[in-house]
Amino acid sequence: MESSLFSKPKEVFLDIVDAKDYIQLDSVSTIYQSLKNSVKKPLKMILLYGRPGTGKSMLLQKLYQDLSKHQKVIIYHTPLVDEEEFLRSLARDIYSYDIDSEINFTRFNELSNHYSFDIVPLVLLDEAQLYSSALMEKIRLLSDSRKIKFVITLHKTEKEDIIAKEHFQTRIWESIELKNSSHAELKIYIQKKLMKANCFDIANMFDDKNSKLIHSLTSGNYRYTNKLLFSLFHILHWYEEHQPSKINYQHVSNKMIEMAAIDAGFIDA
Amino acid sequence: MLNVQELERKWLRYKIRSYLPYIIVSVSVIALSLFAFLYSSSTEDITKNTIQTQNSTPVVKKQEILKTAKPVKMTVTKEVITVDENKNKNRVMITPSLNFIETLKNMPKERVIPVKKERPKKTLKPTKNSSDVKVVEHKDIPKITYKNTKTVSLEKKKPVHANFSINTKQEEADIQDVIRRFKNNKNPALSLFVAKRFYIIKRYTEAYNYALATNELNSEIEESWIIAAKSLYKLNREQEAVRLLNRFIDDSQSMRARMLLEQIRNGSVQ
Repeated sequence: MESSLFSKPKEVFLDIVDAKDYIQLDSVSTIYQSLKNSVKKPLKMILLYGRPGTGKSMLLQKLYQDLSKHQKVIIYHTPLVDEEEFLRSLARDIYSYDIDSEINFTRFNELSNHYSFDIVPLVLLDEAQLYSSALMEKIRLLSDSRKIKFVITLHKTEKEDIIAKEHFQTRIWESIELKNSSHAELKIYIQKKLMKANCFDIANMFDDKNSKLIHSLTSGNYRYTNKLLFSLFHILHWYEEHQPSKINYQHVSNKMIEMAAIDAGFIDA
Repeated sequence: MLNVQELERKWLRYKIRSYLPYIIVSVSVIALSLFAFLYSSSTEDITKNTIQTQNSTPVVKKQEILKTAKPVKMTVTKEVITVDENKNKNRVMITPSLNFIETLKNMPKERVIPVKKERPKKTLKPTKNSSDVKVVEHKDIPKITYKNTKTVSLEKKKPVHANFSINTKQEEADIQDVIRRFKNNKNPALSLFVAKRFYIIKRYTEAYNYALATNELNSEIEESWIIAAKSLYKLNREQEAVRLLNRFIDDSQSMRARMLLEQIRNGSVQ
Protein backbone atom coordinates (compact mmCIF):
# COMPACT_ATOMS: atom_id res chain seq x y z
CA MET A 1 0.00 0.00 0.00
CA GLU A 2 2.81 2.33 0.89
CA SER A 3 4.47 1.77 -2.46
CA SER A 4 1.42 3.05 -4.35
CA LEU A 5 1.88 6.31 -6.22
CA PHE A 6 -1.58 7.54 -5.25
CA SER A 7 -1.80 6.61 -1.58
CA LYS A 8 0.06 9.70 -0.38
CA PRO A 9 -1.93 12.19 -2.51
CA LYS A 10 -5.07 10.56 -1.19
CA GLU A 11 -4.05 11.42 2.39
CA VAL A 12 -3.24 14.99 1.35
CA PHE A 13 -6.88 15.57 0.58
CA LEU A 14 -8.30 14.19 3.76
CA ASP A 15 -10.72 16.82 5.08
CA ILE A 16 -8.81 17.86 8.16
CA VAL A 17 -8.49 21.44 9.36
CA ASP A 18 -4.82 21.82 10.00
CA ALA A 19 -2.96 25.09 9.75
CA LYS A 20 -0.05 23.20 8.24
CA ASP A 21 -2.25 22.43 5.22
CA TYR A 22 -3.02 26.08 4.67
CA ILE A 23 -2.44 26.94 1.00
CA GLN A 24 -1.36 30.41 0.14
CA LEU A 25 -3.61 31.62 -2.67
CA ASP A 26 -3.92 35.18 -3.88
CA SER A 27 -7.46 35.79 -2.71
CA VAL A 28 -7.08 33.83 0.53
CA SER A 29 -3.82 35.58 1.29
CA THR A 30 -5.45 38.99 0.87
CA ILE A 31 -8.31 38.03 3.15
CA TYR A 32 -5.98 36.63 5.74
CA GLN A 33 -3.90 39.76 5.75
CA SER A 34 -7.07 41.81 6.08
CA LEU A 35 -8.17 39.65 9.00
CA LYS A 36 -4.84 40.05 10.74
CA ASN A 37 -5.01 43.81 10.34
CA SER A 38 -8.56 43.85 11.72
CA VAL A 39 -7.47 41.94 14.79
CA LYS A 40 -4.87 44.59 15.55
CA LYS A 41 -7.49 47.32 15.41
CA PRO A 42 -9.48 48.20 18.54
CA LEU A 43 -12.54 46.40 17.19
CA LYS A 44 -14.98 44.65 19.48
CA MET A 45 -16.01 41.89 17.09
CA ILE A 46 -14.98 40.58 13.70
CA LEU A 47 -17.26 38.46 11.57
CA LEU A 48 -15.86 36.01 9.09
CA TYR A 49 -18.60 34.57 6.92
CA GLY A 50 -19.02 32.53 3.81
CA ARG A 51 -20.54 29.37 2.41
CA PRO A 52 -19.48 26.04 3.91
CA GLY A 53 -16.13 24.88 2.61
CA THR A 54 -14.80 28.29 1.68
CA GLY A 55 -11.99 28.01 4.23
CA LYS A 56 -13.31 29.88 7.24
CA SER A 57 -12.18 27.26 9.72
CA MET A 58 -8.81 27.01 8.06
CA LEU A 59 -8.33 30.78 8.26
CA LEU A 60 -9.37 30.78 11.86
CA GLN A 61 -6.93 27.97 12.55
CA LYS A 62 -4.18 29.76 10.69
CA LEU A 63 -4.90 32.95 12.65
CA TYR A 64 -4.77 31.05 15.88
CA GLN A 65 -1.45 29.47 14.97
CA ASP A 66 0.09 32.77 13.92
CA LEU A 67 -1.20 34.98 16.77
CA SER A 68 -0.96 32.58 19.68
CA LYS A 69 2.80 33.15 19.81
CA HIS A 70 2.30 36.83 20.60
CA GLN A 71 -0.98 37.08 22.50
CA LYS A 72 -3.62 35.19 24.33
CA VAL A 73 -5.73 33.47 21.69
CA ILE A 74 -8.43 30.92 22.40
CA ILE A 75 -10.11 28.95 19.63
CA TYR A 76 -13.33 26.96 19.94
CA HIS A 77 -13.93 24.78 16.91
CA THR A 78 -16.93 23.16 18.48
CA PRO A 79 -19.60 25.49 19.78
CA LEU A 80 -20.22 25.50 23.50
CA VAL A 81 -23.94 25.86 23.45
CA ASP A 82 -24.42 25.84 27.21
CA GLU A 83 -23.89 29.30 28.65
CA GLU A 84 -22.36 28.16 31.95
CA GLU A 85 -19.98 25.77 30.20
CA PHE A 86 -19.03 28.53 27.76
CA LEU A 87 -18.28 30.98 30.57
CA ARG A 88 -16.45 28.35 32.57
CA SER A 89 -14.32 27.48 29.50
CA LEU A 90 -13.52 31.15 28.92
CA ALA A 91 -12.50 31.63 32.57
CA ARG A 92 -10.26 28.60 32.44
CA ASP A 93 -8.68 29.29 29.02
CA ILE A 94 -8.26 33.07 29.31
CA TYR A 95 -7.67 33.57 33.01
CA SER A 96 -6.56 30.04 33.91
CA TYR A 97 -9.21 30.12 36.60
CA ASP A 98 -10.98 26.88 37.38
CA ILE A 99 -14.37 27.44 38.93
CA ASP A 100 -15.87 24.45 40.62
CA SER A 101 -18.91 26.34 41.76
CA GLU A 102 -21.66 27.78 39.66
CA ILE A 103 -20.73 30.62 37.31
CA ASN A 104 -22.96 33.13 35.60
CA PHE A 105 -22.45 36.13 33.38
CA THR A 106 -22.18 38.59 36.36
CA ARG A 107 -19.62 36.38 38.10
CA PHE A 108 -17.59 36.12 34.91
CA ASN A 109 -17.60 39.93 34.48
CA GLU A 110 -16.34 40.33 38.05
CA LEU A 111 -13.62 37.82 37.30
CA SER A 112 -12.54 39.54 34.09
CA ASN A 113 -12.22 42.86 35.98
CA HIS A 114 -9.46 41.30 38.10
CA TYR A 115 -7.29 40.53 35.07
CA SER A 116 -5.66 42.84 32.56
CA PHE A 117 -3.57 42.07 29.45
CA ASP A 118 -1.30 44.17 27.25
CA ILE A 119 -3.11 42.84 24.28
CA VAL A 120 -6.75 42.07 24.67
CA PRO A 121 -7.30 38.28 24.62
CA LEU A 122 -8.70 37.02 21.35
CA VAL A 123 -11.42 34.38 21.26
CA LEU A 124 -12.04 32.63 17.94
CA LEU A 125 -15.48 31.07 17.68
CA ASP A 126 -16.07 28.73 14.74
CA GLU A 127 -19.58 27.77 13.65
CA ALA A 128 -21.08 30.67 15.62
CA GLN A 129 -24.44 30.12 13.93
CA LEU A 130 -24.92 27.22 16.33
CA TYR A 131 -24.83 29.43 19.40
CA SER A 132 -28.15 30.36 20.94
CA SER A 133 -29.46 33.88 20.66
CA ALA A 134 -29.17 34.37 24.44
CA LEU A 135 -25.56 33.29 24.45
CA MET A 136 -24.82 35.43 21.42
CA GLU A 137 -26.23 38.38 23.37
CA LYS A 138 -23.86 37.59 26.25
CA ILE A 139 -20.95 37.36 23.79
CA ARG A 140 -21.93 40.80 22.49
CA LEU A 141 -21.95 42.24 25.97
CA LEU A 142 -18.57 40.69 26.69
CA SER A 143 -17.10 42.21 23.54
CA ASP A 144 -18.67 45.59 24.45
CA SER A 145 -16.75 45.50 27.76
CA ARG A 146 -13.51 45.37 25.62
CA LYS A 147 -12.10 42.78 27.98
CA ILE A 148 -12.24 40.10 25.26
CA LYS A 149 -12.10 40.42 21.50
CA PHE A 150 -14.13 37.96 19.45
CA VAL A 151 -13.66 36.68 15.91
CA ILE A 152 -16.61 34.59 14.91
CA THR A 153 -17.32 32.63 11.73
CA LEU A 154 -20.78 32.21 10.27
CA HIS A 155 -22.19 30.17 7.46
CA LYS A 156 -23.62 32.49 4.91
CA THR A 157 -27.13 31.20 4.51
CA GLU A 158 -30.38 33.06 4.45
CA LYS A 159 -31.21 32.02 7.99
CA GLU A 160 -27.74 32.81 9.30
CA ASP A 161 -27.84 36.17 7.61
CA ILE A 162 -30.89 36.97 9.71
CA ILE A 163 -29.00 35.94 12.84
CA ALA A 164 -26.11 38.14 11.82
CA LYS A 165 -28.50 40.96 11.19
CA GLU A 166 -30.22 40.65 14.53
CA HIS A 167 -27.24 40.12 16.78
CA PHE A 168 -24.20 41.55 15.10
CA GLN A 169 -25.17 44.17 12.59
CA THR A 170 -24.74 47.12 14.91
CA ARG A 171 -21.96 45.60 16.97
CA ILE A 172 -19.63 44.16 14.42
CA TRP A 173 -17.00 46.56 13.39
CA GLU A 174 -15.62 44.47 10.58
CA SER A 175 -16.96 41.67 8.45
CA ILE A 176 -15.01 39.64 5.92
CA GLU A 177 -16.59 37.39 3.35
CA LEU A 178 -14.92 34.28 2.01
CA LYS A 179 -15.85 33.02 -1.43
CA ASN A 180 -15.34 29.90 -3.49
CA SER A 181 -12.23 29.78 -5.64
CA SER A 182 -11.97 30.33 -9.37
CA HIS A 183 -10.87 27.40 -11.52
CA ALA A 184 -7.39 28.92 -11.89
CA GLU A 185 -7.11 29.24 -8.12
CA LEU A 186 -8.42 25.73 -7.70
CA LYS A 187 -5.71 24.36 -10.00
CA ILE A 188 -3.08 26.18 -7.94
CA TYR A 189 -4.69 24.93 -4.76
CA ILE A 190 -4.55 21.29 -5.95
CA GLN A 191 -1.03 21.54 -7.28
CA LYS A 192 0.31 23.44 -4.26
CA LYS A 193 -1.31 20.99 -1.90
CA LEU A 194 0.27 18.06 -3.75
CA MET A 195 3.65 19.72 -4.05
CA LYS A 196 3.60 20.54 -0.36
CA ALA A 197 3.40 16.78 0.19
CA ASN A 198 6.24 16.25 -2.35
CA CYS A 199 3.86 14.70 -4.91
CA PHE A 200 5.35 16.62 -7.84
CA ASP A 201 4.59 14.04 -10.53
CA ILE A 202 0.98 13.83 -9.46
CA ALA A 203 0.70 17.62 -9.35
CA ASN A 204 1.91 17.78 -12.95
CA MET A 205 -0.79 15.36 -14.02
CA PHE A 206 -3.45 18.05 -13.57
CA ASP A 207 -4.04 20.33 -16.51
CA ASP A 208 -6.49 23.15 -17.17
CA LYS A 209 -9.18 20.79 -18.46
CA ASN A 210 -9.00 18.77 -15.25
CA SER A 211 -9.17 21.83 -13.05
CA LYS A 212 -12.11 23.20 -15.06
CA LEU A 213 -13.96 19.93 -14.68
CA ILE A 214 -13.22 19.76 -10.98
CA HIS A 215 -14.29 23.37 -10.60
CA SER A 216 -17.55 22.69 -12.42
CA LEU A 217 -18.22 19.72 -10.16
CA THR A 218 -17.31 21.39 -6.87
CA SER A 219 -18.14 25.02 -7.70
CA GLY A 220 -14.69 25.90 -6.42
CA ASN A 221 -15.52 24.81 -2.91
CA TYR A 222 -12.37 23.68 -1.10
CA ARG A 223 -14.10 21.12 1.07
CA TYR A 224 -15.83 19.54 -1.95
CA THR A 225 -12.58 19.62 -3.88
CA ASN A 226 -10.81 17.80 -1.09
CA LYS A 227 -13.55 15.21 -1.01
CA LEU A 228 -13.50 14.75 -4.79
CA LEU A 229 -9.74 14.45 -4.99
CA PHE A 230 -9.64 12.04 -2.12
CA SER A 231 -12.08 9.88 -4.03
CA LEU A 232 -10.12 10.33 -7.25
CA PHE A 233 -6.88 9.14 -5.72
CA HIS A 234 -8.70 6.33 -4.07
CA ILE A 235 -9.93 5.14 -7.48
CA LEU A 236 -6.53 5.68 -9.10
CA HIS A 237 -4.99 3.73 -6.29
CA TRP A 238 -7.36 0.86 -7.04
CA TYR A 239 -6.52 0.93 -10.75
CA GLU A 240 -2.84 1.02 -9.98
CA GLU A 241 -3.23 -2.14 -7.99
CA HIS A 242 -5.63 -3.99 -10.29
CA GLN A 243 -5.52 -2.51 -13.80
CA PRO A 244 -2.48 -0.24 -14.08
CA SER A 245 -2.71 -0.28 -17.89
CA LYS A 246 -5.84 1.86 -17.62
CA ILE A 247 -3.98 4.68 -15.90
CA ASN A 248 -2.55 7.52 -17.94
CA TYR A 249 0.42 8.76 -15.96
CA GLN A 250 0.81 11.84 -18.14
CA HIS A 251 -2.42 13.44 -17.07
CA VAL A 252 -5.51 12.64 -15.11
CA SER A 253 -8.32 11.48 -17.36
CA ASN A 254 -11.66 13.21 -17.01
CA LYS A 255 -13.27 9.81 -16.88
CA MET A 256 -11.51 9.16 -13.56
CA ILE A 257 -12.58 12.55 -12.21
CA GLU A 258 -16.18 11.88 -13.23
CA MET A 259 -16.05 8.45 -11.66
CA ALA A 260 -14.73 10.06 -8.48
CA ALA A 261 -17.55 12.61 -8.66
CA ILE A 262 -20.06 9.77 -8.92
CA ASP A 263 -18.43 8.02 -6.00
CA ALA A 264 -18.35 11.18 -3.89
CA GLY A 265 -21.94 12.00 -4.74
CA PHE A 266 -21.32 15.09 -6.87
CA ILE A 267 -22.84 13.35 -9.89
CA ASP A 268 -26.10 11.51 -9.58
CA ALA A 269 -25.65 8.62 -11.99
CA MET B 1 -15.58 -0.58 -0.15
CA LEU B 2 -14.82 0.71 -3.59
CA ASN B 3 -16.66 -1.11 -6.39
CA VAL B 4 -14.91 0.15 -9.52
CA GLN B 5 -16.87 -2.06 -11.93
CA GLU B 6 -20.14 -0.64 -10.64
CA LEU B 7 -18.63 2.82 -10.76
CA GLU B 8 -17.63 2.32 -14.42
CA ARG B 9 -21.14 1.17 -15.28
CA LYS B 10 -22.55 4.21 -13.54
CA TRP B 11 -20.09 6.43 -15.39
CA LEU B 12 -21.10 4.92 -18.75
CA ARG B 13 -24.75 5.48 -17.90
CA TYR B 14 -23.97 9.05 -16.90
CA LYS B 15 -22.08 9.75 -20.13
CA ILE B 16 -24.88 8.36 -22.26
CA ARG B 17 -27.38 10.41 -20.30
CA SER B 18 -25.27 13.55 -20.57
CA TYR B 19 -24.89 13.14 -24.35
CA LEU B 20 -28.53 12.20 -24.82
CA PRO B 21 -29.85 15.78 -25.17
CA TYR B 22 -27.20 16.52 -27.82
CA ILE B 23 -28.01 13.27 -29.63
CA ILE B 24 -31.73 14.04 -29.50
CA VAL B 25 -31.19 17.59 -30.73
CA SER B 26 -28.84 16.42 -33.50
CA VAL B 27 -31.19 13.65 -34.61
CA SER B 28 -34.13 16.07 -34.49
CA VAL B 29 -32.25 18.62 -36.58
CA ILE B 30 -31.21 15.96 -39.09
CA ALA B 31 -34.73 14.56 -39.21
CA LEU B 32 -36.22 18.02 -39.66
CA SER B 33 -33.70 18.88 -42.38
CA LEU B 34 -34.42 15.59 -44.12
CA PHE B 35 -38.14 16.15 -43.84
CA ALA B 36 -37.80 19.71 -45.13
CA PHE B 37 -35.66 18.49 -48.03
CA LEU B 38 -38.07 15.70 -48.90
CA TYR B 39 -41.03 18.02 -48.57
CA SER B 40 -39.45 20.64 -50.81
CA SER B 41 -38.42 18.05 -53.38
CA SER B 42 -41.88 16.46 -53.35
CA THR B 43 -43.44 19.93 -53.76
CA GLU B 44 -41.17 20.51 -56.74
CA ASP B 45 -42.21 17.13 -58.19
CA ILE B 46 -45.86 17.98 -57.70
CA THR B 47 -45.33 21.33 -59.40
CA LYS B 48 -43.48 19.70 -62.25
CA ASN B 49 -46.13 17.03 -62.60
CA THR B 50 -48.83 19.67 -62.57
CA ILE B 51 -47.02 21.62 -65.25
CA GLN B 52 -46.47 18.47 -67.25
CA THR B 53 -50.09 17.50 -66.85
CA GLN B 54 -51.18 20.96 -67.87
CA ASN B 55 -48.89 20.80 -70.87
CA SER B 56 -49.73 17.28 -71.83
CA THR B 57 -53.49 17.49 -71.43
CA PRO B 58 -54.16 19.55 -74.54
CA VAL B 59 -51.99 17.23 -76.59
CA VAL B 60 -54.02 14.27 -75.49
CA LYS B 61 -57.14 16.16 -76.26
CA LYS B 62 -55.84 17.03 -79.70
CA GLN B 63 -54.94 13.45 -80.35
CA GLU B 64 -58.35 12.38 -79.19
CA ILE B 65 -59.94 14.96 -81.42
CA LEU B 66 -57.87 13.77 -84.35
CA LYS B 67 -58.86 10.21 -83.72
CA THR B 68 -62.53 10.69 -82.96
CA ALA B 69 -63.82 13.92 -84.41
CA LYS B 70 -63.07 13.66 -88.06
CA PRO B 71 -65.76 16.02 -89.32
CA VAL B 72 -64.49 18.90 -87.18
CA LYS B 73 -62.91 21.60 -89.23
CA MET B 74 -59.74 21.81 -87.22
CA THR B 75 -59.06 18.14 -87.50
CA VAL B 76 -59.85 18.24 -91.14
CA THR B 77 -57.25 20.91 -91.56
CA LYS B 78 -54.79 18.84 -89.63
CA GLU B 79 -55.53 15.81 -91.66
CA VAL B 80 -55.24 17.75 -94.87
CA ILE B 81 -51.82 18.88 -93.85
CA THR B 82 -50.67 15.40 -93.09
CA VAL B 83 -52.16 14.07 -96.30
CA ASP B 84 -50.41 16.82 -98.16
CA GLU B 85 -47.12 15.84 -96.64
CA ASN B 86 -47.65 12.28 -97.63
CA LYS B 87 -48.81 13.26 -101.05
CA ASN B 88 -45.89 15.57 -101.54
CA LYS B 89 -43.57 12.67 -100.96
CA ASN B 90 -44.89 10.94 -104.04
CA ARG B 91 -46.11 14.03 -105.88
CA VAL B 92 -44.19 15.41 -108.80
CA MET B 93 -42.75 18.80 -107.99
CA ILE B 94 -40.69 21.22 -109.95
CA THR B 95 -37.07 20.64 -109.17
CA PRO B 96 -35.30 23.80 -108.15
CA SER B 97 -32.42 24.31 -110.47
CA LEU B 98 -31.39 27.86 -109.88
CA ASN B 99 -30.88 27.87 -106.09
CA PHE B 100 -33.52 30.47 -106.07
CA ILE B 101 -35.32 29.37 -102.97
CA GLU B 102 -32.22 29.63 -100.83
CA THR B 103 -31.45 33.03 -102.27
CA LEU B 104 -35.00 34.08 -101.57
CA LYS B 105 -34.84 32.87 -97.99
CA ASN B 106 -31.50 34.46 -97.26
CA MET B 107 -32.24 37.67 -98.99
CA PRO B 108 -32.18 40.50 -96.46
CA LYS B 109 -35.39 42.37 -96.13
CA GLU B 110 -33.59 45.70 -96.25
CA ARG B 111 -32.80 45.06 -99.87
CA VAL B 112 -36.42 45.27 -100.73
CA ILE B 113 -37.05 48.53 -102.38
CA PRO B 114 -39.68 50.48 -100.52
CA VAL B 115 -42.72 50.82 -102.64
CA LYS B 116 -45.13 53.64 -102.60
CA LYS B 117 -48.56 52.47 -101.77
CA GLU B 118 -50.18 54.97 -104.04
CA ARG B 119 -50.44 53.66 -107.48
CA PRO B 120 -50.05 56.22 -110.16
CA LYS B 121 -53.30 56.85 -111.92
CA LYS B 122 -51.64 57.39 -115.20
CA THR B 123 -54.18 55.64 -117.25
CA LEU B 124 -54.49 56.87 -120.72
CA LYS B 125 -57.95 57.87 -121.66
CA PRO B 126 -58.93 57.77 -125.27
CA THR B 127 -59.11 61.26 -126.56
CA LYS B 128 -61.79 62.29 -128.97
CA ASN B 129 -59.84 62.48 -132.14
CA SER B 130 -56.80 60.79 -131.04
CA SER B 131 -55.46 57.86 -132.86
CA ASP B 132 -53.60 56.75 -129.76
CA VAL B 133 -54.94 53.70 -128.14
CA LYS B 134 -55.17 53.20 -124.48
CA VAL B 135 -54.16 49.80 -123.25
CA VAL B 136 -56.97 47.85 -121.72
CA GLU B 137 -56.64 48.14 -118.02
CA HIS B 138 -56.36 44.82 -116.25
CA LYS B 139 -55.82 44.13 -112.66
CA ASP B 140 -52.93 41.73 -113.09
CA ILE B 141 -51.51 43.06 -116.26
CA PRO B 142 -49.04 45.87 -116.31
CA LYS B 143 -50.06 49.09 -117.82
CA ILE B 144 -48.71 49.19 -121.29
CA THR B 145 -49.00 52.13 -123.53
CA TYR B 146 -49.14 51.58 -127.25
CA LYS B 147 -48.16 54.29 -129.52
CA ASN B 148 -49.01 54.87 -133.08
CA THR B 149 -51.50 52.08 -133.24
CA LYS B 150 -54.91 52.44 -134.60
CA THR B 151 -56.70 49.41 -133.32
CA VAL B 152 -58.52 49.57 -130.05
CA SER B 153 -58.82 45.92 -129.22
CA LEU B 154 -55.71 44.40 -127.80
CA GLU B 155 -56.91 40.85 -127.86
CA LYS B 156 -57.51 40.88 -131.52
CA LYS B 157 -54.23 42.39 -132.48
CA LYS B 158 -50.79 41.29 -131.44
CA PRO B 159 -48.81 43.96 -129.76
CA VAL B 160 -45.83 44.96 -131.80
CA HIS B 161 -42.79 44.82 -129.63
CA ALA B 162 -41.09 47.62 -131.33
CA ASN B 163 -44.04 49.87 -130.95
CA PHE B 164 -44.73 49.77 -127.25
CA SER B 165 -42.81 50.85 -124.20
CA ILE B 166 -43.26 49.60 -120.71
CA ASN B 167 -43.31 51.72 -117.73
CA THR B 168 -40.46 49.64 -116.31
CA LYS B 169 -39.88 51.66 -113.26
CA GLN B 170 -43.42 51.43 -112.06
CA GLU B 171 -43.60 47.78 -113.08
CA GLU B 172 -40.51 46.99 -111.08
CA ALA B 173 -41.87 48.85 -108.07
CA ASP B 174 -45.13 46.95 -108.25
CA ILE B 175 -43.39 43.60 -108.50
CA GLN B 176 -41.06 44.43 -105.62
CA ASP B 177 -44.03 45.42 -103.53
CA VAL B 178 -45.67 42.07 -104.17
CA ILE B 179 -42.40 40.25 -103.56
CA ARG B 180 -42.11 42.03 -100.23
CA ARG B 181 -45.61 41.00 -99.30
CA PHE B 182 -44.90 37.45 -100.43
CA LYS B 183 -41.84 37.29 -98.21
CA ASN B 184 -43.93 38.34 -95.29
CA ASN B 185 -46.83 35.96 -95.67
CA LYS B 186 -45.64 33.25 -98.11
CA ASN B 187 -48.87 33.37 -99.98
CA PRO B 188 -48.57 31.24 -103.16
CA ALA B 189 -51.03 33.52 -104.93
CA LEU B 190 -48.54 36.38 -104.62
CA SER B 191 -45.60 34.35 -105.86
CA LEU B 192 -47.70 33.16 -108.78
CA PHE B 193 -48.61 36.74 -109.53
CA VAL B 194 -44.92 37.71 -109.48
CA ALA B 195 -44.06 34.73 -111.72
CA LYS B 196 -46.71 35.81 -114.21
CA ARG B 197 -45.50 39.40 -114.20
CA PHE B 198 -41.90 38.39 -114.73
CA TYR B 199 -42.99 36.12 -117.57
CA ILE B 200 -44.89 38.98 -119.17
CA ILE B 201 -41.93 41.30 -119.00
CA LYS B 202 -39.77 38.47 -120.36
CA ARG B 203 -37.69 37.96 -117.27
CA TYR B 204 -38.05 34.23 -117.64
CA THR B 205 -35.49 33.23 -115.08
CA GLU B 206 -37.32 35.10 -112.33
CA ALA B 207 -40.63 33.89 -113.74
CA TYR B 208 -39.43 30.27 -113.47
CA ASN B 209 -38.09 30.85 -109.98
CA TYR B 210 -41.31 32.33 -108.64
CA ALA B 211 -43.30 29.58 -110.34
CA LEU B 212 -40.98 27.23 -108.51
CA ALA B 213 -41.62 29.05 -105.21
CA THR B 214 -45.37 28.82 -105.82
CA ASN B 215 -45.07 25.14 -106.61
CA GLU B 216 -43.10 24.60 -103.48
CA LEU B 217 -45.86 26.13 -101.40
CA ASN B 218 -48.68 24.44 -103.28
CA SER B 219 -47.85 21.97 -106.03
CA GLU B 220 -51.47 21.65 -107.08
CA ILE B 221 -51.64 25.09 -108.62
CA GLU B 222 -51.77 24.34 -112.34
CA GLU B 223 -50.70 27.82 -113.32
CA SER B 224 -47.34 27.48 -111.54
CA TRP B 225 -46.55 24.39 -113.67
CA ILE B 226 -47.58 26.19 -116.85
CA ILE B 227 -45.50 29.34 -116.10
CA ALA B 228 -42.52 27.22 -115.08
CA ALA B 229 -42.70 25.14 -118.27
CA LYS B 230 -43.19 28.17 -120.48
CA SER B 231 -40.29 29.96 -118.77
CA LEU B 232 -38.03 26.95 -119.29
CA TYR B 233 -39.03 26.87 -122.88
CA LYS B 234 -38.24 30.56 -123.27
CA LEU B 235 -34.88 29.94 -121.60
CA ASN B 236 -34.13 27.39 -124.32
CA ARG B 237 -34.52 24.52 -121.94
CA GLU B 238 -37.19 22.84 -124.00
CA GLN B 239 -36.42 19.29 -122.92
CA GLU B 240 -36.73 20.24 -119.28
CA ALA B 241 -40.01 21.95 -119.98
CA VAL B 242 -41.32 18.85 -121.75
CA ARG B 243 -40.24 16.56 -118.91
CA LEU B 244 -41.84 18.91 -116.42
CA LEU B 245 -45.15 18.94 -118.28
CA ASN B 246 -45.13 15.16 -118.80
CA ARG B 247 -44.67 14.62 -115.11
CA PHE B 248 -47.44 17.04 -114.28
CA ILE B 249 -49.78 15.50 -116.87
CA ASP B 250 -49.08 12.03 -115.47
CA ASP B 251 -50.00 13.23 -112.06
CA SER B 252 -52.90 15.58 -112.74
CA GLN B 253 -54.17 14.90 -116.28
CA SER B 254 -54.26 18.65 -116.82
CA MET B 255 -55.70 19.68 -120.17
CA ARG B 256 -53.87 23.00 -120.15
CA ALA B 257 -50.59 21.18 -119.62
CA ARG B 258 -51.36 18.89 -122.52
CA MET B 259 -52.13 21.86 -124.76
CA LEU B 260 -48.90 23.61 -123.74
CA LEU B 261 -46.94 20.44 -124.38
CA GLU B 262 -48.44 20.30 -127.83
CA GLN B 263 -47.58 23.97 -128.41
CA ILE B 264 -43.99 23.36 -127.30
CA ARG B 265 -43.69 20.45 -129.68
CA ASN B 266 -45.14 22.58 -132.46
CA GLY B 267 -43.02 25.54 -131.47
CA SER B 268 -46.04 27.73 -131.13
CA VAL B 269 -45.64 28.77 -127.54
CA GLN B 270 -46.55 32.37 -126.93
